[in-house]
Amino acid sequence: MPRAIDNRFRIAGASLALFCLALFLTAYSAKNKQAAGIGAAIVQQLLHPFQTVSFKIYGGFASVWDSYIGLVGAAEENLTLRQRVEALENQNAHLMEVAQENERLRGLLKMGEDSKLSSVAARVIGYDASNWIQAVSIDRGSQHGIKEGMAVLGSSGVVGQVIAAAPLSAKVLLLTDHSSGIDAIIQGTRARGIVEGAGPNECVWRFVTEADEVKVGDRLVTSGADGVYPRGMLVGVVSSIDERGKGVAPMIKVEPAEDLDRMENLLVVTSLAPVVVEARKK
Amino acid sequence: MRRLLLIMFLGLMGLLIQSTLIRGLFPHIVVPNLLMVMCVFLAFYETSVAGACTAFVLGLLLDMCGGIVLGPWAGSFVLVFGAVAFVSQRIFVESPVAIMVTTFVCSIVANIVYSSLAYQVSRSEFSSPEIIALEAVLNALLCPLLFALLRKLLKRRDRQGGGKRYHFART
Repeated sequence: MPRAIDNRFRIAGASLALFCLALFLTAYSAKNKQAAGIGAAIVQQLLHPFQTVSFKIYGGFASVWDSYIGLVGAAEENLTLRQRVEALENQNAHLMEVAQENERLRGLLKMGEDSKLSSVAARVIGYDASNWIQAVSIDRGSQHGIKEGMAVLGSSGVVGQVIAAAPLSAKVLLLTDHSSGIDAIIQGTRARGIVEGAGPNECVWRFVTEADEVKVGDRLVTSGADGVYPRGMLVGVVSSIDERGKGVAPMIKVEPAEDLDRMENLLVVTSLAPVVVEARKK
Repeated sequence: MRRLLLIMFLGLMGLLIQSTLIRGLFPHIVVPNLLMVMCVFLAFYETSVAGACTAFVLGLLLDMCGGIVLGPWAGSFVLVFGAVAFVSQRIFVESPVAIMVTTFVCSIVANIVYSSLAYQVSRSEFSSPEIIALEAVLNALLCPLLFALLRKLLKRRDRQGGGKRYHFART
């Protein structure tokens, strides 16, 4: 019996010592972000083969579901999509007109640079294991030119940035994570602020200049000032404004443009460096 | 030692299931923390210093998977392990209700410890009571199944490896 008690206290002592080690690690990795990045890269590399295989299997099931069972209601969806294509074609024509006009004006102003980006396409192969961190794993890593801090875009807008890069895969912190922040402006009024993550599928816009001019439905785009995200990328739409009273900044909620739960293919921006356009050199 | 390595491998598999299958199939739901359940299992059936170290490594794996900060999960897992191991002889582990209640309480404690530690370093809000409660319920519901699976796997390994006979901490 005394031996059992002795064992219990030994375990309690060991647990306490390990807890202190955990506290030290927490403090250390908070100061040295690289440590957490290296740790994530190791786990990422360990999980990569399993993640790739399991996503292929899952993709197969999803494909069967989409091809056969999911066809119920396809006619209705088809009609909606046709209408959407028509609307987008109209919008596209208008945007092409604007782009040409922009080109001409740039030529007039002799602006010799363009914002062409170099990027790498990637597929989502995993999500974060806990409920607290909003992150995804992608199937491209340092061997494909991906590095920490690179911006990641989806088909509809900004997704997040790379926080760890293993040789064959990488971890992307989503814009909805609490530790994420993006310098953004409103497309129309140019009011500026920081879009911070606020949990699953939600962001808040803080430190907003000219907050009075913000309306629900306003589109937020990246300002490019943070040096991470290219300028003019859609971040999200203002979904609600909560006026908390006089003297307190309003709580502006933003719905991300990208459906972060359903995205499959992403684009990692490997270089933000401006590319000189040949025609303008002349 | 081999048994603990096997548990770590199973922990890695748990991470894989959490991060791919469950999230892929049910993107909008709260995911159960399988590693947390494994930590409670360890506290019942591996009441030793090596068990505490394994709980620490399992927590560290979860931290490394997140990639933001290392240590909060490791700390919370070790605290849960220590507390459960300390009282494990007073808990009837053959009763599913007993282990479900223990896992439920441990999940809530672990999440609160994690939130507190993570808040200290990132100043971010990690305090959604709904998520904590839902995760605890899911963990509690899954634990009888996971405990049975882990017991079966470890018993089989002991029989094959000819190692020491598997024993329960207290029945």
